[in-house]
Amino acid sequence: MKVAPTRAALTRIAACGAAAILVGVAVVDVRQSAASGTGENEKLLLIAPAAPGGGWDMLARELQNGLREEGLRRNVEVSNAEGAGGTIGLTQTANREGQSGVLTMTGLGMVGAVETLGSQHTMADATPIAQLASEYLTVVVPKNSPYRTADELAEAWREKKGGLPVAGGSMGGVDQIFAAQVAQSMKVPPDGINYLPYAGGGEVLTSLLSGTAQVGFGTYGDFSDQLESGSVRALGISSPERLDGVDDLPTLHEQGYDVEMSNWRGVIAPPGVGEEEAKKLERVLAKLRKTPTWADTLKRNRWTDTYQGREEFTAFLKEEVTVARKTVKALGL
Amino acid sequence: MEAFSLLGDGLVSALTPANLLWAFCGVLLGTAVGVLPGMGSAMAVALLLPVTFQMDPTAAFILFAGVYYGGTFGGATTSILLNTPGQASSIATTYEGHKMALAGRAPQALGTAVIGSFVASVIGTLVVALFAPVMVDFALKFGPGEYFALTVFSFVAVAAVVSGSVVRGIASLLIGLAIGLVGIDSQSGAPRFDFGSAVLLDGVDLIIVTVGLLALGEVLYVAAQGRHAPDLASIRSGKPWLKRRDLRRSWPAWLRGTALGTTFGPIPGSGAEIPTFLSLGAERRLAKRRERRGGEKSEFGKGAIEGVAGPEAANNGSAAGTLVPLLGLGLPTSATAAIMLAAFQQYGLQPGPVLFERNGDLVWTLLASLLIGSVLLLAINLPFAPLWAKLLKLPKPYLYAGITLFSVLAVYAINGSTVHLVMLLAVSLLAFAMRHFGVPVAPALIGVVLGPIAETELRRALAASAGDPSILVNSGISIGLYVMVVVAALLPLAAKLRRLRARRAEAARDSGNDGDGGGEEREPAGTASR
Repeated sequence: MKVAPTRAALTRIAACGAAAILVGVAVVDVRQSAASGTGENEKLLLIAPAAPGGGWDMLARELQNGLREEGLRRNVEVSNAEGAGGTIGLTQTANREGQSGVLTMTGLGMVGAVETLGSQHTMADATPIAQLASEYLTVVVPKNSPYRTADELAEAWREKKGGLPVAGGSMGGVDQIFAAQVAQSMKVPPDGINYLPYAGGGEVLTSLLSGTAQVGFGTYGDFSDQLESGSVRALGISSPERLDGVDDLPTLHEQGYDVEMSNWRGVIAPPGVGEEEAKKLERVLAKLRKTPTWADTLKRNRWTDTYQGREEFTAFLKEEVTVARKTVKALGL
Repeated sequence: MEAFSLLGDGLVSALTPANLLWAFCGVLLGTAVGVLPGMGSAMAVALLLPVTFQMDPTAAFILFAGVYYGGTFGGATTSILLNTPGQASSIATTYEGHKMALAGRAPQALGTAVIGSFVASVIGTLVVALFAPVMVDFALKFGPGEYFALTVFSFVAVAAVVSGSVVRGIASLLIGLAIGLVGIDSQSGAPRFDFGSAVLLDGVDLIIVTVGLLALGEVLYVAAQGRHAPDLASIRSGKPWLKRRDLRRSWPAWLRGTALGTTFGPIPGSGAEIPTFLSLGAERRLAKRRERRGGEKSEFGKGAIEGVAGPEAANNGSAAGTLVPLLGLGLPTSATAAIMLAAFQQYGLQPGPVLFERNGDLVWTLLASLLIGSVLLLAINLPFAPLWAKLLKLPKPYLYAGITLFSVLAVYAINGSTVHLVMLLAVSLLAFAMRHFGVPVAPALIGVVLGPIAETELRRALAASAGDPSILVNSGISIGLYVMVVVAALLPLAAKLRRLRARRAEAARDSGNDGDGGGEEREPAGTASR
């Protein structure tokens, strides 16, 4: 009869002990993450202004993985702030004025969204740190399409204008800016094109393969598998020169269409972080760029290394904002 | 039958103790993530992706497969017990599932859901393995015109869910359609009903709508009733296992749900919502027909087991179907699939038409892992069904406080933004008002889910044809779907007419020849009218 109470007491003591240990561990853990640490233990927050699986989310997770693997930063956290073409993430960044250890993923899509949506915060509300990688854009048609060259497409497009349905990513995004620039170079008024926006590269391909849209606009990576298998055909790429590995694909430029653009990706820090902090962030990224892990990342995602340091990137960003503003205006968005 | 032996080889290479452990972790994690509203399997797979960089391909596939199927099933648990669907694909489950729980049949509802998910996962995976190329061709026939016809058909099919007053049902549907309009219009980029707020530009998140309309609205309503609210703890939970009668009624529903899911799952851009709603509508109609023919009474509206079995099988079936465009064309058609594609490429697996020839062994291993994942899904979740059902035994105040905490956390987790919480409060007050005035919330949910799809596809179709409406009816698939719409709409009407005529004839006979008992066969008025 005595056994039961003793056992109950023991259980209670054990439970109390376990709880105490848990609380203790939690307190220590909190202390550790609260103390920002120095060097490789310094905390770094990566804001991905996209849903999990989106382009900026991939970039953030690759950065997180690379920084950890190479021992540059052990304490890296990714936070998703999706919405409104990335401008929600931009606003969150702007609101963290002066905070150190924060990097937000950015790219041409965000620049475009700021212009089309009239966001309350602009790229001027952030501190540019570095450009990391780019993807070039291509114009593709299904394999049974009558258009074999950019010239044939230009001729037909001028004639049909809105009668030629073309597909790409969401409204105001990189793909649409690309489509507008291609149209402009082909002497088709950009606000007269029949652009069908889709949620992603996969859906654009489906639209082409099912015969809904006749021309697709998107990054090379979106279409590379199908280009290889031959179910779609590329008419031109937006790079300044032919790309390694796909040298049979002519650039738009060499075919006489003055379109040179890339879907670049970079990182920005909150406004007012100070010279010291900006330099430190830039240094970490410059180091990461030289590592084998990052080389693997670039290869795996088919990104082109277009690294730019702080100074270069700041000037580049300014230019991109001007171009995007002009294109958005021409599109009438 | 070569496919079977290849699949067998895949199974052999996938079945190692370590891989089984991964599958176990995956299913557990997937179920946990599915149970939490606002966390989808896409999120879990994205978080796991960096972890798998160091794993061998087979183990990674098995982990993903477990998360994928587990996540699709997990939503059912909260739908049934708490009336809170974790994701869009489990909304259809709530209608009958929660009513079953209220009637003390929660373990049966959970049981039929988990077995249905298992059956659909296994059949779906096998169908994908054997018929992927054929299904790809079918899926590519779906342009926006066909897709719009499919949404029209879904609207008509689920109209059956709207019981009671037609006017109130339509009012509710319109509320749902209005909520679905908020945000940037995807086709023109124009902001609609954003009231100048950047957060509203992305529309009202579906999680906010489901949690607000179903869970928090109910909490507020119960709280307003105070002591008079029905006490869930008094519900007898009954025998925890499926009875023979439950099984007899579940299995055809599982098979029909699987068929709908695997047929419509591969269509690019379609989620699991449409097949689940179609399945719910079909089961309801079939149950009614059985009743009219003198069979068992339809339990729809009071917690019919078919209404859980069908949609749950349909959503796992379509989860398997999503793999068709992914493997056959290299087209990721859902967020989860997009992340899985990234994982495949990492192992040098290149999805596309030549995948089966080039990376045959890996593909068969993947399909085998999906089979293992579904078996574990059953093994892990079936024993837990009666345990989960005990949740309802909690005293009312704790249970509803728990639901409130759970819902608010889920919504806060979407973006860490307080604006979302304000939106949630607004939606739950709306839901409270709807309950108070007897407006059903089910049609509103259907409007929120199907409305934007229908709008996008219609406008996309008309844009592609430069405004020519003939694109809507220029294929066999669209015409077939519209014919089914008309038939579905006319059948009840015809049945009503026939009954009316029969009654009139009877009345004429009765007046001529009183008391010959001819009125006994007469159906109770109003059984089939809605």
